[in-house]
Amino acid sequence: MSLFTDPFLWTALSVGVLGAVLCTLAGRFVLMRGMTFVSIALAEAAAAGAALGMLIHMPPDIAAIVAVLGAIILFRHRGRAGDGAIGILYAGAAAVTLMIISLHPRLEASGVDLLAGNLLYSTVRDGWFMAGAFAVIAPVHILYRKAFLFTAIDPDTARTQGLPARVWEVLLMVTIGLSIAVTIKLAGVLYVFAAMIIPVMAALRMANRVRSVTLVSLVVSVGGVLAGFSASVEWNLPTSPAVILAWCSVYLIARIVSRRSA
Amino acid sequence: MNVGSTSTGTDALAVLTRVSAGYGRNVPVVSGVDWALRRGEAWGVIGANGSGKTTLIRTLMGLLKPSEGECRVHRNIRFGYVKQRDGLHDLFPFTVREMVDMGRMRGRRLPSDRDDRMGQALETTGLVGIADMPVRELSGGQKQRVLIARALVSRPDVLVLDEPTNDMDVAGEQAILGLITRIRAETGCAVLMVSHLLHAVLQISEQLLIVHEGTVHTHARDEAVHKDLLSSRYGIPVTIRPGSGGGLSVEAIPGGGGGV
Repeated sequence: MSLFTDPFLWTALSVGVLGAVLCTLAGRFVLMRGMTFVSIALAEAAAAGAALGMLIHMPPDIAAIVAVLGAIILFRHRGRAGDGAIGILYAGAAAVTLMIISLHPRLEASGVDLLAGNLLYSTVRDGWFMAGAFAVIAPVHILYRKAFLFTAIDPDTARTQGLPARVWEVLLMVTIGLSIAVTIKLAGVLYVFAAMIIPVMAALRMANRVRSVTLVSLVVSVGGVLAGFSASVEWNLPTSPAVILAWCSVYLIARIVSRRSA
Repeated sequence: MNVGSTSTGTDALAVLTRVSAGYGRNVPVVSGVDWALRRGEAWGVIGANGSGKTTLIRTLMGLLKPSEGECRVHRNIRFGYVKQRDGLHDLFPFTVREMVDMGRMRGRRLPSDRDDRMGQALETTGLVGIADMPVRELSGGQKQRVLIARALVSRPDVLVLDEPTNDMDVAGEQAILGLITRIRAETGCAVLMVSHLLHAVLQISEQLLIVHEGTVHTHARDEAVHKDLLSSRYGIPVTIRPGSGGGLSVEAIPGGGGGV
């Protein structure tokens, strides 16, 4: 099997790359806003939504989007529960996903793995769905990056300057949630979470400008997908973990090199 | 409630009438505040930690809605908010120029004379030579200048500074206070400075808002420098001594029940 000759691998690779780029673009704002824990809770909520969708014969992508948007509304009204509410959502959503899959083996038999992902099961329809989602979400993150940056790092000052910071915050959360939701069914919780955090953290070790951090994180993100896919095909390894380990390797190398040069 | 955005009818930029404000449904942090801010005035806000100083300025700037009373702010007023610098983001390598540039982002439109404003703000705050350095690599005093420059880019009517000289040595503190004084003289903006350091506030302001246990009292500068008044406001016996930079400092009387 060759990565560059089999059409179904091209589909899987395209879904993996587009999903990783979407999550990495969102991940910059996740880290700026200090929302790492929120992001994995959203990923679990999306997984639970996808599982529930498959159970009730609803398109899992749509069910994941509904679940993520519901979780975002919950976060914005969590009041005194604070981080505790995020923890409850994370654990509860993970439990729902595991329960549904264990009670309905046909989901597992169909190749769905919402935790570790199974990109090789991507269909052409999945590829088009991901391309459509990418065409909508990525331009929003790029066009409105300055407003997102300002409201992510200093929402109070943004509001005193007359910026509708709450509107930007909601839009940012929704686009982060959508990035997660459209990637989750095929890539799984681990892949989505890793794609948001690790390439950006690696880029922060290698770049000394915010713009460079964005570019380097996207290069790391795509490079990790290509390396992980190649390793997966060559040595018959599970795809998502192979990609995640490729990202982790880049981060570790960047960390060692940046420490030595410092 | 009410944060009005309207003409205040006089030369006042903002008028607070019987304002109470706080967080959630708890007892208000400040209550019954009557106060007016006029163009070009310089006010200091002092009080013990947790007394409600920051709550007061957040209410003025519309970040908190009053639970009672009315906060009327002139329709076209521009606030230049200089937050506490320890809340400055340092994970991402924003340069001085990028951070200051955020100050020109407004709700409705971007100012057309962007480069002029940026250049002037960097020049005024002495940041031209380090404009391309990452903010996270700067000293505390330089970071404070970055925040002031970001506020200046919007050409504010009111410069609001929250503890701008916290944790600074005497030289750094005097440099920042001198900069604020110069900005006020050059731009004519009103200044509202929150601090728990009396000498710093006295150096900048002509009038004081003293916040004590949720109530707010206004005093002329000279009237406020009285140990009995300050003792009652801080809730412990204090004395006033000559302090750093030729100013005054307020100190707790040993054995008098606490420190300031």
